[in-house]
Amino acid sequence: MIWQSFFGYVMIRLDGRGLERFLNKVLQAGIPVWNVRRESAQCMHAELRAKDFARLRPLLRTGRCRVHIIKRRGVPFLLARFSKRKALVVGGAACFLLLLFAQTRVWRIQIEGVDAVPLAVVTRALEQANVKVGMPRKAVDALSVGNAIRSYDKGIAWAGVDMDGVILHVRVVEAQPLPQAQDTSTPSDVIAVKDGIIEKVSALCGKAHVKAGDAVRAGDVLIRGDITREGAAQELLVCAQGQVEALVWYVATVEKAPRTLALVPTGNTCPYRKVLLAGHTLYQSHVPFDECEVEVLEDTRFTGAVLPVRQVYGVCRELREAYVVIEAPEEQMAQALYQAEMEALIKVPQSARIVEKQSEAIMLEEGGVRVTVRVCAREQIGVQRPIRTAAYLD
Amino acid sequence: MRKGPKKKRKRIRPRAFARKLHEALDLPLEIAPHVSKVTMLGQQDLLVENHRGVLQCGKEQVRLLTNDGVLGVQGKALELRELSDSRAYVRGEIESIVCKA
Repeated sequence: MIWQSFFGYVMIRLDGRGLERFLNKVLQAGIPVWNVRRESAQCMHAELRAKDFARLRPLLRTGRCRVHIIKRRGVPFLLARFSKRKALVVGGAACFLLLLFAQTRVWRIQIEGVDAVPLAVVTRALEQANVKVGMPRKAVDALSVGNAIRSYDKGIAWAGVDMDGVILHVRVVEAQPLPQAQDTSTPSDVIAVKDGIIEKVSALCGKAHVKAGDAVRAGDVLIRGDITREGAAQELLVCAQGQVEALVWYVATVEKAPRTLALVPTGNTCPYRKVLLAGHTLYQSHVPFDECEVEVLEDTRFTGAVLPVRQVYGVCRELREAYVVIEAPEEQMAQALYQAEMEALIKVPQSARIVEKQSEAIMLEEGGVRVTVRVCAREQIGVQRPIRTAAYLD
Repeated sequence: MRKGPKKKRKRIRPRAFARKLHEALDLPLEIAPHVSKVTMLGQQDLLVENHRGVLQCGKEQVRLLTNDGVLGVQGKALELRELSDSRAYVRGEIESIVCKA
């Protein structure tokens, strides 16, 4: 049917008698027909090529039926119709060509991953690599541009460039700052920054003031920089250095009441639709709720097309603040335990290793529950502090 | 001189000869031009190849002339989806197919 539409075909109505005889004459003349349907005793519909319609005339002379054209379909008829509207055809063709040209260019540069490094640094790196909005997509060499960005600033550890339709994505990974070189000329002590129980002391310079098993508080001296011998005429001060490992306890307590305020669904829903173009929201359906949550049912991305379009379709459920009664004490305890654990673990630094975890739950008289979680972590607690003596200050 | 009765010459029918030639050469009958081929797909589509014309075309009955006789197709909402000098494609709710010599 698509093939016939390309060359044009007509739908005809045959009226009269001897319709089958006429059909056989048409077949003998080598004219193919299709969609032949009997409408009534003396009426039949059929379809044939537009160029074959003229060949029916001599066959009709000898027959007892008449032919009428009902519809004309196909590209030739469409072109004939549009021949009277040249401006529309030219405008449509121009738009199509403009769209073809537009999709070969870069129209947006999206930079991700920058935090400490200023965005202007990455932008200047891109300018230096001759990457800008409006340049041809094929001219972007992802590997070389990524290397150029990485080598432009020491704060950038890695840079990746990716072309997504007409958007150029630049992903940057920042370099971790180097540890500051320690000033070994200033006499200093190593003191504790947190309370803990000493596990191991390794004094590289200075004299250890504590030993394994000692309990220390924040501010206590762990390694002394004053190594003056007793009876010496001149004091000897050094910059104490070393590693002091200790067990530190982090505690978090959470109390849960019998009922708690939470967002609960009301049962009201409405359809939700959102259309994004290159990350920007073009259209978002109106949501008549103050608080709601969206359940995404379908997320369609049209990547690689002329323009990057994304459509999100889902259901929006209304939420309302309400007191939720937690019936079972076990559920209260579980929620409180989970919350306390999260709060305690957040306090533990990333460099620490968790050794032990303890939890304690108490049922309150008024029906709630109190849960305490203690987390023990092994970590370095020593930090240098300059020794402030009168001689030194002079 | 009295002449005897004329001997009737045996007339060789072209179709019978073609069929015998096909069988002698072990050729498949499908490629024979005089043999009508009927292919049915499910209960909605029927393709008749090597037909010789349309005898009747209606919504409940379509009759086609073949080399072996008349092929009748009964059903509902029948239509000739495609019709050319050698192929006829019938579509609709086909209930029965009758071949009459």
